[in-house]
Amino acid sequence: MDIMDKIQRLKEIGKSQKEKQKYINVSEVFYVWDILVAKLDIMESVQIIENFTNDKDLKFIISRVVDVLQSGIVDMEAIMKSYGIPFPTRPPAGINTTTILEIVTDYNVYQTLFESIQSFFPILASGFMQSTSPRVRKAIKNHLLVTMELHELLVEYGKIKGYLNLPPVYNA
Amino acid sequence: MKILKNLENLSRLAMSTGEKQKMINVSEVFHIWNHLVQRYNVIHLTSLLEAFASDPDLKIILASGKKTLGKHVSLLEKEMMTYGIPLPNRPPKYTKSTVNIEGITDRFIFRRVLRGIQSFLPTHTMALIHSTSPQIRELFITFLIEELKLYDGLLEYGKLKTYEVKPPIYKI
Repeated sequence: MDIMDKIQRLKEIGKSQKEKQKYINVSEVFYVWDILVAKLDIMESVQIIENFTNDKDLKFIISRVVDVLQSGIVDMEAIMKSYGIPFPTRPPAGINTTTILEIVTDYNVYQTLFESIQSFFPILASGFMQSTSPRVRKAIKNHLLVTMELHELLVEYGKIKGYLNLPPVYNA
Repeated sequence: MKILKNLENLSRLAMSTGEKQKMINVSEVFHIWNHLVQRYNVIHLTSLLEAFASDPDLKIILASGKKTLGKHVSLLEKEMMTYGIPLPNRPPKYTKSTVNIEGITDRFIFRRVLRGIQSFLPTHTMALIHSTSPQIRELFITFLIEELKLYDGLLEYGKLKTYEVKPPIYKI
């Protein structure tokens, strides 16, 4: 439904934030805000846990996770700015520590990433279900798709490394 | 449905593990297993964060959370043994770090735990709606209610400390 998104964008040209606010519903405002807060929260824990990674492949996976989170943050912020939605406070820009924590292994880092990405699905899915404006719907849909791809990557990586806990098989 | 749960308990008494396996469905097996894996991860994370918490109130909250989690873990392990479901690896029994990482602040710990519970609630509800055995349903209901109580207390703590990020208000 890209055409509807384009129509909405054309309709919004030259309008003030106040006027544009009429085009989005309260649920969309909440979800855009909530997705942003979730991304910021997860970004902070990824930045902390990143310090304890040893595996090079895992570092690459983390960089992919950070890219997806960052793109989500930028997109949500653009929508919020356009409709005049208040921005939440942000965590520190980065955390760099030289401390070594023996109790945090690559397995723990992987589990944190895996569960963090999983936790986005209920938020993104509900946000998508309750969006009525084409622009917000498209933004959330794109993120849902990107998050799905990232999750696939994490599952396959976890299987190779043996980090992924596989559920019991059927009829063993 | 206490009466049905008791009936099921009575009928299970004389059954072998193989016979008991016929009484639960695949989704229940997945959810019990998944709950346990996630509980193990959360216990490891809570012990890790507990070492970095400086506020005494936060320490109490984390300790009470860990106590509830420990109780859930033993219940889940017992159920899995009863039905002969393979158990996942456990986290280390004791994790205590003496180093100090400045990046892990009380605010971060609060946000991480709050986000953790928020992402856990869909798991509880899905487990509940996919379960058909009265005994397992009762187990999931208990978990859900206890988790909700923890969440309720934690959110109020966050408000007191102004760690909470408030959603946009309706009409300024």
